[in-house]
Amino acid sequence: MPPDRDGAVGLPDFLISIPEPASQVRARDLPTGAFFAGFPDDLPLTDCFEAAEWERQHAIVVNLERWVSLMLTRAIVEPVLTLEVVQRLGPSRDVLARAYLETIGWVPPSPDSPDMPPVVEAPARRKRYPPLELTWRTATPGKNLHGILKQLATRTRRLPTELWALPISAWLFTLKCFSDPKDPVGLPDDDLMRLIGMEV
Amino acid sequence: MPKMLTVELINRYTELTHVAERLSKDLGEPVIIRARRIGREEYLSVAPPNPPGSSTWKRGEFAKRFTEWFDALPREAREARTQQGRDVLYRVVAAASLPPLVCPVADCADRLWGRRLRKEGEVLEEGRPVDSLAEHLEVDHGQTPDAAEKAALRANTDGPTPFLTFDQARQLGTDGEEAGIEIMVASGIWQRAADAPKAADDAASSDAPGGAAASDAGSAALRDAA
Repeated sequence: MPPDRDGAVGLPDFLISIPEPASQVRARDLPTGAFFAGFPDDLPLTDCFEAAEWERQHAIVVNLERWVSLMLTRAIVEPVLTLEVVQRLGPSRDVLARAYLETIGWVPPSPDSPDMPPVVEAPARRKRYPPLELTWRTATPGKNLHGILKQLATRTRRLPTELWALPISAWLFTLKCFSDPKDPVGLPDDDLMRLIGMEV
Repeated sequence: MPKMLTVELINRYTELTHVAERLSKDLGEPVIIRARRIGREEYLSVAPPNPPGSSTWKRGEFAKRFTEWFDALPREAREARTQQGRDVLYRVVAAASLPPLVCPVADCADRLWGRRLRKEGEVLEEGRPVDSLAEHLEVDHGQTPDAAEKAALRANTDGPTPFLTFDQARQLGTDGEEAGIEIMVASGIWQRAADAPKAADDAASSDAPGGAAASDAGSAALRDAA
């Protein structure tokens, strides 16, 4: 399972529409490690969140919000967005994040957001991608994500480095293929967020 | 098919200006706070945490439960929370403030004053062209064009100024608080003007709806999945 370099395993670039300013952006299927770079170990609505002190809960929410914005700076390739520009997007940032997460398969299409503009495949012309920091290849993921990666590597008999370089859509697809709610160590595909946020 | 987003378009679309009315009156010339929208995490990073257990409160009951929680605090804690709530607006202004534009006067007129009149979801320049700074000042603000053009020229000659610090934003007083509210609404953190604090003096209790809205909406895309 070689890392995808030509879109054969992962998704082609795709276009996401945002309501304001009414326009489109071009997004890429990030390598898994780049997608999760900086992903916080503690997440809202998990058991550890509920048990945390209120100041800690606040920090957890802030950390997650920051990760979403930073992830978008890596995922959107046209235009190239800085963190400040993402922050300027306001409510459109959430539209962008939701559409991206739906497209890569993290969350199912929401029936609550019928107005969400469809995501379409981008024209095939190649764009030169903005560079990614190399640290995503070498930085050890947080404890919970590390546990998932280790579990997935065991089941697929692949090196974690291979899985870490997969396009995020392929990684999530693989993860869902191995999910089994009846298995005590199964990976429920309807609750990835909770799973990754829980201690494993 | 919508056009491709550009950074220039975002910057233009997400800039806002706030006329510091009291300061303008005091100084006898228009004082304009130029700012950008802020992100939710920028707001949350300067906002005080919501009360313990509030993550489970329903949106409709937040204000009532916040008030109950606030009233039960010791006096010192209430005062501290009040101050925190007031400071949030100044911190927002400091984070969002931009230096004056360095541009020809006519362009400044469009960008500084035109956007002030932008209707929701519509950029003024695309609807009704801005003819002149003088027209806007006379029609919409009752200011003399000379004073405003002096201000614009000063922005040209003095060059970019540093972003406001928290202390500088605090010195703006109620002008700063009003600018903070405008920035929060424009940024979608407060969805409607009615969600904003009803008065800055009541900052502690009234910062709750904003905090609730932010927390409730926070990470909406991700948390919907959980």
